[in-house]
Amino acid sequence: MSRVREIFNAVYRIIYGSLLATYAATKYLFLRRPTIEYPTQTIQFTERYRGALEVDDNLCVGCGICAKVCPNTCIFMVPYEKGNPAMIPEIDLQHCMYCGLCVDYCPPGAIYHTHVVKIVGFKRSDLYLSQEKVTNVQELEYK
Amino acid sequence: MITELYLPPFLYDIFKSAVATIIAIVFTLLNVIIFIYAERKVWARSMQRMGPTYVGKWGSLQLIADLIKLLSKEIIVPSKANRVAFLLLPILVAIVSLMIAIILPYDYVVFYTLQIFQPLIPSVSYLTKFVVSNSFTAGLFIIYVVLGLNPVLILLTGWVSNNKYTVVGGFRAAAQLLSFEIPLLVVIASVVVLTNSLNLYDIVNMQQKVWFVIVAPLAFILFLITTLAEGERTPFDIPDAESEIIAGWNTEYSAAPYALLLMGMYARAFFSATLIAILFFGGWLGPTLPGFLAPFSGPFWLMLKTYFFMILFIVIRAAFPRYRIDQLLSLNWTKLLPLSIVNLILVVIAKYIVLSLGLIS
Amino acid sequence: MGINNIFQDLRIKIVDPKKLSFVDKLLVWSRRNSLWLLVFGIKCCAIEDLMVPGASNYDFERFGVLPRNSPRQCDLMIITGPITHKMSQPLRTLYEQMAEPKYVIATGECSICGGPWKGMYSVLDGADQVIPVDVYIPGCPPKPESLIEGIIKLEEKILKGEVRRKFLPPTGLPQLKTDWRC
Ligand code: SF4
Ligand code: SF4
Ligand code: SF4
Repeated sequence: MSRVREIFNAVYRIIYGSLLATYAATKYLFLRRPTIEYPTQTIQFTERYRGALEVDDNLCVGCGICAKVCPNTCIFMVPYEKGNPAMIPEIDLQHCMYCGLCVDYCPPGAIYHTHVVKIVGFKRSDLYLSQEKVTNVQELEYK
Repeated sequence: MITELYLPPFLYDIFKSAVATIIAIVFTLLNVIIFIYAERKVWARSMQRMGPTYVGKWGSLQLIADLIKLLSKEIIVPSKANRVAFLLLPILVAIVSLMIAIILPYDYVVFYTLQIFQPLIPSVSYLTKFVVSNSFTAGLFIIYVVLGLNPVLILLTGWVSNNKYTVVGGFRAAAQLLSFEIPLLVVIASVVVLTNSLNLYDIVNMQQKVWFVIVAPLAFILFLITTLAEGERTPFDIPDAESEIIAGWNTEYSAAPYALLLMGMYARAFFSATLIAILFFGGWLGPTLPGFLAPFSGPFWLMLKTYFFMILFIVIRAAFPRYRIDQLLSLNWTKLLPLSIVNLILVVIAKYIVLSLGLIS
Repeated sequence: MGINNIFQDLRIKIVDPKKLSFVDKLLVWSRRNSLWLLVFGIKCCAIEDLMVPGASNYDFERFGVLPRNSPRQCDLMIITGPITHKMSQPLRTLYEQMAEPKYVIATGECSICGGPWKGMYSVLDGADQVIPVDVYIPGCPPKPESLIEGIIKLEEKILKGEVRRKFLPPTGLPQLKTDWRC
């Protein structure tokens, strides 16, 4: 008798399971989709989102601490063409891992993360933020 | 117009069948594109994704782009493969798959849909004489003879590619398709017991009063499972299991030959959907549509049922995980085969009941 | 690598997008809209960066990017993670097994330049030491939006005809360190 019940249970499980799986898949066809259609829809970034780095040349004093703390040594101090401050960091984004150490250690808070995620390069050198680029990352046009 | 063609009867028959064949094949190719598009959309929806939306309205041109890209890509022939067989086999697979399109009533669908325009163009009614698919007295038999060639071709496709993944895929396909053919044919036999005919038109006309899915529900379930396995659809897509053996027996194929293989696979799944509609759900039988759409009602019901089973195949693909090869073979030999024989006995009993009720003649 | 090439003349040569014939325009349109994807996922990026754009939030199948497993059927290879000397040979083999036209995207600092492992004894200075790379996407891991941006940039590049069209024979690629032992 128990054998018969076993077989009955197995058949019941097969039928119930297949119907349940089909029902679940069908149910998902009619649920709302959470897709963000990226190029046409804008994304809600959180406030502390770590995008590309930008340097505010009004605040930067050229102390070079950011270059010293960067674990990947991707910040290079170069003479600033506009003169004030005397040195300004240039960032090689191909090495940057968006860890935020430079932001934490900058005494006047001159270097900060923006919400820019568009930086994509056809060459490696496209990813190098020279001093013109690094001071206005948000206005950059990437072609 | 072509209302009167002064051709000798022999040439006239050839002309007639050529037109019907071309129409059926074009119709099948169109539906394969619809099938793949529907699969990508429905599958994406079942994962709460969007599916293709970028190309054309709702991504409707996506498959056209895929097709053109596949045809224009470089054809790679592995140096260890047999070059002639490697390039010939996809064509054979495509031909064998498309042969079935002539036997299934697709020319009926196209020509009777065109009858909508009869009030405008009266000579369109002449086209109904061009339907050839009703002349196959053993249509069901031919379909399964042709489908029986598939395991051989797939095994050869895997073998000539000379790659271990394709060989494994080919052997899996051969084991799966050959073993699933036996319960499939026994289930087909049960339908033939009910109808005494192998002609698809006769089988449909027998279902005027009651669909065979009510007479033989077990046969329908077995047929659904075995056709899924014959068409290598999930949950039985072991021959081209993507996560196990790269792409199975079509791993080495690129560009146009791959497009042919893909077309063959989806064409077989589409034929399976049509066959389920014809054998168990009364084919083109259904209420007549109102007004000028009246000649369209037969094709409408047939294609509605076909597309329903197409969507069901896709939902099954989204819902079920893949079987293992040993589970699959044990499912076939220890469960489906005994069940199909039980089903044959049940159908014989059901036939006497239905006959005595006068539901089939 | 044991790969024969037939129909070599089919490859289009574009100079200026304005001078394209209709067939060329059709080919370029189909190529940019149907990038089938081969995932070369090595490290954390493969999970964090490659799987997220494929999932429902940033669905890259909207652009016709369809993951396929066989390199023969793919157009686009996305590389993530650091390329070690030992991994460079499989990477080269997979690249050569893809059918022309083929495109490569390097995502994450590891595959661009070695990343935190730059200068390590076993890690190469980026994937472009082994195979040509079309688009670089920085980040660790890159944001999913960046990857989609990269795919859109690659489509633009294909449309402009800037992508290399010549099939690079194995000799055109730099020699690999084949006797590497870990
Ligand atoms: S975010 Fe980290 S890796 Fe990037 S520049 Fe700052 S310190 Fe260096
Ligand atoms: S960005 Fe900050 S840490 Fe870096 S040089 Fe300027 S002031 Fe110093
Ligand atoms: S770039 Fe960063 S996240 Fe990506 S593989 Fe390298 S270490 Fe991992």
